[in-house]
Amino acid sequence: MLKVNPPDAYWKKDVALFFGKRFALVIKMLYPMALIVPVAISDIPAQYAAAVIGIVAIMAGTFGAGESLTADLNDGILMRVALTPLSPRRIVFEVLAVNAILDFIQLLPALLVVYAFNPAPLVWVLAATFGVFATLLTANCLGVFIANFTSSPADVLLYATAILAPLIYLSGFFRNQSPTGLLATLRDFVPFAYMNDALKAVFGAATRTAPAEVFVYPALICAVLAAAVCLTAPRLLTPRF
Amino acid sequence: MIEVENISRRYKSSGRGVEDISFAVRPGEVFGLMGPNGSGKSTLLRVLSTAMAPDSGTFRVNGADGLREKRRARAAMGLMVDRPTHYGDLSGWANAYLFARAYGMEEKEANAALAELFDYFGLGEYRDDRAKTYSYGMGKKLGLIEAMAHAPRFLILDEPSLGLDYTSQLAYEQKIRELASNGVSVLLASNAVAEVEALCDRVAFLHRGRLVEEGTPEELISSIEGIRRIEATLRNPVDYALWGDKRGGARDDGGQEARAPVRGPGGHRRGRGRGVVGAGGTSRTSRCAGRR
Repeated sequence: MLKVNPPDAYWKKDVALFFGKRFALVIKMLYPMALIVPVAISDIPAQYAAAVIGIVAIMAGTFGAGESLTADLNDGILMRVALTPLSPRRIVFEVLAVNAILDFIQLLPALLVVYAFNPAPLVWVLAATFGVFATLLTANCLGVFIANFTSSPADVLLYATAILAPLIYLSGFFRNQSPTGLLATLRDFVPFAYMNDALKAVFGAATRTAPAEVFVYPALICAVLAAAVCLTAPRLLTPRF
Repeated sequence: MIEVENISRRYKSSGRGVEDISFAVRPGEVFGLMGPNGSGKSTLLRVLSTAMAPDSGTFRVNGADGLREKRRARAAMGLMVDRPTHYGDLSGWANAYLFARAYGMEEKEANAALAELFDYFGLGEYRDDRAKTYSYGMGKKLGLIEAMAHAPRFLILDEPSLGLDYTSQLAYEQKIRELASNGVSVLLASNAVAEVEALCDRVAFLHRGRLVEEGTPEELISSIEGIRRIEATLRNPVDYALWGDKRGGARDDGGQEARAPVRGPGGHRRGRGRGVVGAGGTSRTSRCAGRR
């Protein structure tokens, strides 16, 4: 069995902390259920049900990595870790990957409830699940990127809102459902949009996106984003005076 | 060893920093850095720990270029910052284990080294407690353990004894001597004169970012006029209860303890007694100095 405590790698530290605080763990597992389950079992239009789940995923992802990184930077502990022989890029990659996976674990029970109450073809279920993971990874990339410019968790919230608002608009969560021209082109570069389309399909709405596109394009975009934020690691892990 | 050549680093915001610092710490040598607040000690340690790049100058840690081969240099050094922080929700052991593995130690090796150090510094019974329940002094000891566990060839210690209780301080000093005798180079920044004098083979004084004086503690003290030296030989165990209500006078209880008072401009000042931890019947010499 995988031993995470005591942690022998940086990512295992995050896993140990995630599962080590029982009360916080209960809250973390319950709040996505509290937000998503009522939507899943209601009769609201598919586009709005998909939008609610999408927003929960985006918020969970962005504040996950961004907040934990800035808290550790403020504390000084991350700087101390950065002065070990570990590669800064590896540290940031581990932060990114483990936070995305932990966020996904938080959302998975709620997603299973969605699939239970809204039977859909397996390919769309898989596509929606992957789309949610890609969204979490993208959102965590944003959080890490924002942590380059501030050491305050409150600022992460502020900056994230400024960045996320146009991305959410482009993805067509509430408005801009059928974009054309430049907006349509830009939409193709936002992983949130693919998740939105897949979730809409799960809730029974028609979508122009094919399931394969939900797997391929977000995977490529996420790989580029992850590589880009890992390149910021030396700056991110340098003390700011 | 570490070789520092012409290191300069200025903060744009305040204009403070360090200017043209050069020195070397040889294998087995304990080198002290002293200076008033704002003299540049912390800046220099930040540069040498590879946390911050200098504006100019170079340094090498065990042959590794501290600017171009940072990871090699980091692997060779043990570092204790002045205010060690830890993951509060992890145990002290888990924190130290994480660092030991980050420095490349294997599981068995890390467990053995940490068990020895936790016992040595008296943290053995608290090893599974969350780090956030540790006192300031316990946190400092955990910081020392994290710095030493991977058997580095070069140690950077920033105010290591601040906040340590007396027995822990003696244990720490004994450990530093032991490491130095095994060839480890130690760079120690401290403003505790007695600690620097007791531990360091050479000392450098920083003032306004410049290295203004360097030499052995004896040379530096003798260069200042009006210094009186008192040497006292002490034995363990040190009985704190006997120390509590006696002030200002020398005392000898059959070899059990002694105190060295130093008269200063403001009247009597209690000197520091020293003993040897865990070495019943042995003794060692302590030196106390003060301005007459």
